[in-house]
Amino acid sequence: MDAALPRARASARWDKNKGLLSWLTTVDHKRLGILYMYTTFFFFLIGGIMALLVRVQLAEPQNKFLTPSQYNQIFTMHGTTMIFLWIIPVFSGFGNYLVPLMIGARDMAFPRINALSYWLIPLGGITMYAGFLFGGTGEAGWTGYVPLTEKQYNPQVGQDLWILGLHTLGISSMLGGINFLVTLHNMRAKGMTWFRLPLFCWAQEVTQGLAVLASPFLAGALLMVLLDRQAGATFFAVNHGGNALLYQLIFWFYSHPAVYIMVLPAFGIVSEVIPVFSRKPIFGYRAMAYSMSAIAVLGFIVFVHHMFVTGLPVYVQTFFSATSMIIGVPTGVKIFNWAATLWGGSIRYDTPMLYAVGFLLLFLVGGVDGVYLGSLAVDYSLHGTYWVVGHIHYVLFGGSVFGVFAGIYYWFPKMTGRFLNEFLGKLQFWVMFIGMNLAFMPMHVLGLLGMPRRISTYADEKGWGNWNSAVTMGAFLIAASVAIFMINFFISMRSPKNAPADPWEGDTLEWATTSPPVKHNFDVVPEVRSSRPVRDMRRAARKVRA
Amino acid sequence: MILATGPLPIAFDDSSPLHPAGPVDQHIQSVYTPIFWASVALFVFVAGLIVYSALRFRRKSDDEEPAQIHGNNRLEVAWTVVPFGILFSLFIVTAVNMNYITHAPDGALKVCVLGQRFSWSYFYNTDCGAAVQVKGGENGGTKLSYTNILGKRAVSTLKVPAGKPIALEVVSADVNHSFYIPTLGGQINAIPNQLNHMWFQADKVGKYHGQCTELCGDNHYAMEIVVEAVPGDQFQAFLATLNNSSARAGAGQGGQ
Repeated sequence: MDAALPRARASARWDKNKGLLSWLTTVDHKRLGILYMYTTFFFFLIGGIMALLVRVQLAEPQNKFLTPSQYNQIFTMHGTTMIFLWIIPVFSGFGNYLVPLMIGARDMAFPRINALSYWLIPLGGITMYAGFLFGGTGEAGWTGYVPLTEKQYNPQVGQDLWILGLHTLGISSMLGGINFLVTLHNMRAKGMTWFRLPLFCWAQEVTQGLAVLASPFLAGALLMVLLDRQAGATFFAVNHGGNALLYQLIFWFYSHPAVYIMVLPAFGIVSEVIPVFSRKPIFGYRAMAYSMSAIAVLGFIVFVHHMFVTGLPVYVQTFFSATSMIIGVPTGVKIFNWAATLWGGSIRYDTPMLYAVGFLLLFLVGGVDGVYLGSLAVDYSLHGTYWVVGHIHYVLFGGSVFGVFAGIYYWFPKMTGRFLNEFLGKLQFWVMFIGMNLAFMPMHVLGLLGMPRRISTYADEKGWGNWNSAVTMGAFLIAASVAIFMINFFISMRSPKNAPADPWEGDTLEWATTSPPVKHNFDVVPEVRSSRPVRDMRRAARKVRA
Repeated sequence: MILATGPLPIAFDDSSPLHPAGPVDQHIQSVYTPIFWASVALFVFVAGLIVYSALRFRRKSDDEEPAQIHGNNRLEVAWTVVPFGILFSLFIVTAVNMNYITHAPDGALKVCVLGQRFSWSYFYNTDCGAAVQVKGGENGGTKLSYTNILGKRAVSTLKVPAGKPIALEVVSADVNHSFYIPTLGGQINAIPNQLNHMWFQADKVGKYHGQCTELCGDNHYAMEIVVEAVPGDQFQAFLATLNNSSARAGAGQGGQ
C-alpha cells in the first residue's frame, strides 16, 4: 500500500541543510512549525509551573506560601502564558506545518513573514516575563482591566512590559493570520475546492480570519492603556473625563472571538482524527464547515456576556444573553456530527483517538456549563466565581489541550518519522483525564459556594478548603501526565525512524509524502478528486493490484 | 425542597446562591433549576451517545471497511432544531425573570454603596448620584472628597430592615469592584463615575456574607461584605443614631 503512494525523491542538496544556524535562519514552513511547537511547549511548561504555584497557595485556607502581590503576578502570568504563548501559537505551529502539506503547496505564501511571526513569539514572551527582573510582572489578570492597569494603581514597569509583550504577540498573530489566509485562498492544489478542503484547514481559515479581524481591537485597547500610562493620555482616566468601561468593550470585542481562535483549531484536529480512526468520512462535512463559520460570525455578537454585571442597560444584556445561548447550537451540531461519525464506524484506539474522544466528553462539559453563564439571571450569581474558572478550563484544557495532544500523537510520525510510545501515550491520557476532572470539576462546586476567582487566600470559615485541596491534587496529576509525555518524547526521539508515509490510513494529502516530508513537500503534487485524496490513492492502488 | 435549593448532592453552606435568603435570589434560582435539569438531560444523552458509540463500534478486523455514510439531512436538521428549541426556551425563562431581578419595587429603601480599595462603605439618606460627579484628587484625595460629597457618616456593615426591599446604588472610588451577596441577589460592578443599581430583600433577620468578585489589587481577597438584616424598629433606631452622630460630627470627617 505504501509503495503505491508517490515516493518523493528529494534532491540530496535540499536535505543537507543542517545545524543550529540553519534552524535560526529557516523560512521553511515545516521547520517554523516545529520551532513554534518547541517554543510554545516550553511556555506551556512555564505556565504550568505558574499554575502549580497558584494551586499550592490555594490548597489550604489562610496559606502564606505567596504574598498577595506575588500571587496576583503569578496567576496573571499563568493566564496570559497559557492563552497567548501556548494555545493560540501552538495551533499556529500545527497550521504552519500542516496547511501547506494538506493543500498540496510547497510552502506558505510569505515564508519570510512566516519567520517573522514566529520570532515575535519568543520576543513577546521574554518581554512579558522580563517583568520578574524589574520589580514584578503585570498583576491585573490576563484581562488587564482598567483602572487597575492605570499607572496610579499598578506603577511597576512589569505592567508596561506585559502590555508590550502582548502587543508583540498580537502583531505576530495578525501577520500569521494574513499569511494563512493568502495561502489557503491561493495555493490549493488542482482540484482542491473549498468543499474538498480538509476540515483542519477549514478550521484554520476561520480561525485566522478571526485573528485578522479581531486582533487589531486588542492592539488598540492595549495601546490606549499604554498611552494612558506613559504619555499622559486619558482614555480611561475617570478623573479626567475618561471612561473605564470603554476598555472592556474593546477588549472583549477581541477576546471573545479569541476564545474561538483558541478552540476552533482543536475542532479541526479532532475532525481529522475521528474519521481516520473510525474508518468513515466525517458525518455532515458541509455542516461542519458551516457551523465553524457560524460560530465565527456569532462569536462577534456574544462578547457582552463578559460584561453582564457592569450595569449596561438590561435590554442590551438580554440581547447578548440570547446570542450567547444560541451559539450553543452550532457547537452542538459539531458534537452530534462527531458522535455520528463514531456511530457505525470501525474504531481503533491508538492514542490520538483516545485524546479525540476525551476531547468530545470534556468539551461537552465545557459547553453545558457555559449555558449557565449565558443565562443573564444565573450569571448574576456565578459571574466572577470559580464556576467561570471551571468552565474556561473545561473548554481550553479539556477542549483545546486535549485537541493539541490528539494532534501531537497523530502527526508525530509525520513530523519526525518516529512513533511515540503507545503504552506511555495511553498512560498519559488516563492520568491527564482523571487529573483534569479532579482539578476542574470541584471548581464548579466552589463557584456555587460563592468563591470569587482571583483571590489569593480565603478564611477557613468559608468552607472552601477541602474542595480546593482536591483541585490542587488534580493540578499535580496533570503535571505528572505532562512529565509522562516528556519522558515519552525523549524515549521516542531515540527510537528508529520507522514510520511509513501513511501509518494511520489517513485521508489527507500530508500522508501522500514521506515521513518526515522532504523539504519541497511533494515531488509531484497529486490531483485532488474528493475530500479524501489519499484514501482514493489507496483504493486505486488496491484495484491495480487486484 | 431538594429540587429548589440544590440539585447537587452536596451540603452547601449558607454562602451559596443555591440557598436563597430573599426573593431576588429565589428568582435567580427559578432560572437556575430548569437550566440544571436541561443540562443534566443534555449531558447524559450526548455523553451517553458518545460513550456508547465509542465502545460499541470498536474495530474487530483490519479488513472490514464500514458503510461510508456522509450524512443524513433529517438527522442534522433535528439536532440543529431541537437544541435550538431547548436553548431558546431557557433563554425565555431567563428573559421573563429579568424585569423582576433588575427593577427594585417602588418605595424600596435607598442605600449608597461605595467600593474603595479594600473595603465597602454604606451611606443612608444620601444622594449617591452626586458621587459620580466627583472629579479631581487622586488616591486618598478621591476617597476624602467622596465622603465630603456624600456628607453622611458611612458604616462598614450594610444594616437593613428584614423583609423590606433595599435598592442599592453602587459606585467605586478607584478601580472596578463587584458587590456580591450570593444568597440575596447576585452582584453588580462598582465602577468609578458610573452609578449602577441592584436590589435585594433579606426575608429573615440575620447576617449574610459575600465579598468582592472583581480583581482590584493586592488585598482583593479581603474585601468582605457583611449584610445585617434587623427587625424594622431596630433599623429605625440605628438610622436615628446614625443621623445624630453624623449631625454632631458634621460633614468631612471621613468614612470608616
